[in-house]
Amino acid sequence: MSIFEVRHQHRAQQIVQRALAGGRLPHAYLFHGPDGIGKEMLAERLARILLCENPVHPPTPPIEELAGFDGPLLDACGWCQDCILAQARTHPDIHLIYNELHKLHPDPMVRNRKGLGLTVDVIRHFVINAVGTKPLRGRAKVFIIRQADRITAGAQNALLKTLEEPPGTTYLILLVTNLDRLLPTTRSRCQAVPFGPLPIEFVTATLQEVVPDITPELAGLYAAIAQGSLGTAQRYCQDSLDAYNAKIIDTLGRLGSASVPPIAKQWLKDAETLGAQFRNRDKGISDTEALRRGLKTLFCLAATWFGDVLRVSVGAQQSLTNTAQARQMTGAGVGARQAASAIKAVVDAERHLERNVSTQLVVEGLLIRLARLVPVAPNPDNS
Amino acid sequence: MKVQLNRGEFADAMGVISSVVPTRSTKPILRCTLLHALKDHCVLTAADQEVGIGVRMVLNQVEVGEEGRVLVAADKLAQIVRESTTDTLELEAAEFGSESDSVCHVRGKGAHFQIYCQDPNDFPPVAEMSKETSFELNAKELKRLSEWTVFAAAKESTRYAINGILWDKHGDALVMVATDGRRLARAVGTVRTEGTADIRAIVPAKAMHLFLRVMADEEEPIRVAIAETQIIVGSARATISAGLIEGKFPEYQEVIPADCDKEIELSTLELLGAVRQAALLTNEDSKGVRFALSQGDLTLSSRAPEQGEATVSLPVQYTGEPIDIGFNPVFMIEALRAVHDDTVRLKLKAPKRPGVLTVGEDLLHVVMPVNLS
Repeated sequence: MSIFEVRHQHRAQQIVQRALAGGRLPHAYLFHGPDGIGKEMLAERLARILLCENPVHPPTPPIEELAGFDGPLLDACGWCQDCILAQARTHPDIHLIYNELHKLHPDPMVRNRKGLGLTVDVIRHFVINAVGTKPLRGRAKVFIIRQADRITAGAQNALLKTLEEPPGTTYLILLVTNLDRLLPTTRSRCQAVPFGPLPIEFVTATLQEVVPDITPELAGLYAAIAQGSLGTAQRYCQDSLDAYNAKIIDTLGRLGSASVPPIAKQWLKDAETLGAQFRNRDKGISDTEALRRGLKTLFCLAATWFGDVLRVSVGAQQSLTNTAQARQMTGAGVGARQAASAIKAVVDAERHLERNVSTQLVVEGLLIRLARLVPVAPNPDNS
Repeated sequence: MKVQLNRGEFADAMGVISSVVPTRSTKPILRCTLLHALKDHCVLTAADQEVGIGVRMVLNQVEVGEEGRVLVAADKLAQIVRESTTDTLELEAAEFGSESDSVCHVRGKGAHFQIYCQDPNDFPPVAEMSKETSFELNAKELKRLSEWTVFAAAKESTRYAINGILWDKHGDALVMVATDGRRLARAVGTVRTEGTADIRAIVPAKAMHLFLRVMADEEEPIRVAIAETQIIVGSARATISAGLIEGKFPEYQEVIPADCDKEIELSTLELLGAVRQAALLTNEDSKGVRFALSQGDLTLSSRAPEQGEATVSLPVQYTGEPIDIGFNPVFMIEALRAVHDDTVRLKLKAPKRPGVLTVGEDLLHVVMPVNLS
């Protein structure tokens, strides 16, 4: 319930508490950083403080991140009706804006459109118009916009005036993974708050706490692939990603000698299976979006793998995920330069996905690029 | 909780509730209705993100066996009530969470439904009528003022304030004003007040439509409480609350022209008919209808390129200078439709100055002219 449950985000906690203590909370915040590290959690907890009937002042900093903080700290009480409603996610003054919201739009034309980003219709109806009424329970109105980097340019322009001068006690919190995808005009109207990846040890430990029967090795593997994102690591657990990881490493190893189309087909099939799991968790997303998320996960595995190869080839020993296989790869003649180019290829492919390029085209293009970089693998029987 | 309800009255109440329950909502819990059984009456509540409503069912309509609250899907409950054939329905539910599956039993003649419930504590509370009311007025008066203004409010303007209707109460006068920047409707009414302070508040059009639908009884007194952020309007049967709109409403007095020197009286129906006929030959490019006023005659004419022209004449009692002025016929038609009197007055000054339509002393509609050249 407490805002202090958000851990290892020193800067963000300090910035928010300082603003609360000074009574000078900006009307628009921009929380930026990777997925699954506590941006939405902090935004949601901040909303609770703003709406809580009797916010409390913890006497001493409850977490080490705030040790030495000199002002009074603030937190929601957790008992008042506002806190109960916020916890049930039914508080009328907390507005969560997300990508699939167009399905709830009153206009059937907008509803039936495929959800490719937060369009101007969605932003107008659910944010700009909703900002115009006073808070229903009196204290404040908070808008939390998930994946705000998917707000279309037109919608961002429509939102500028609201971001600059929202009426009354309205607060907007934009959550983004990539600051660069926002228009400079949007960025300049918000106060940016950076979020960093969580320590791998923290992710490993938390995974072991929340996932029953997970082995420490597996928890470590997921934490490492997830690169400091607890949310991603938890998802990997649910999807039993270790099997896919082995598969990806296997296919990448064989890439030099095998033909691309069957591998691409296999990747797309795996992405579809992963995508189906995304859909099970989040019924609102479209088929295309599910497939895209599945592919992104596979790309992430590939990038992690090449990251390992890169580290091994330059002699780094830390934060390795797939040590043995990476050694084998470098032994086969893949050097730092190739590994770096491979990572770049994966990043490019991910960007193409974001821009709605055909998934098959993206996968085949990526595999062709990688095949040129990876030499013919030694026959497994000989090694 | 255990209650017996008169099916007919229950169906009526559910009809009102259903008009508020959103068909789609970002918060699924809002698709439910909360039934609260108290000692001698029952209250059904529903809310969407803008308005909330509570409908009371009292003695003769309901018999409370055991007090309590239950939160169930509004559409299912309404359908069950509609399809039932008995005179009374019995609703029974254990306190939420006391059993593993929380269900509400609905029993009629030979029929038994079990609907799954949600936790009533998670439902955002709907405001009840506060003890301190701001003023009181008759349902008829509320209806008259609302009908005359609600159509003129802007729709989805980024100037939030004009998306609603201004309630400007000073002394025992209540002035309602709505505008979309091109026309302005103003209605003046009287209210009963016990010396409360003057109030200015902007009420969303959606809430006004709900008042019109629910508060229909002619002479019934309606109590109104306006607080910092919300308005609560209550009759004996229902209480409606709505969040007020942010922003500053334009100074409407300055918009109303006081120097109109050309004035005619017209039959409401004749003028409405004439404007509708003339409007037939207007299109996107030529939105205006020309009002040519000369001695004894008002001629409405329009022209749609590539389609044709229309001319409609009305005899009027007028002896002043002639004038040619253009108006958007939609604004005229919407205003005339809201008129219940037999006659209206049209006041003009110059072709580039706004025209004013008045009904009696209290109702007034200012329309900006359109350029005819």
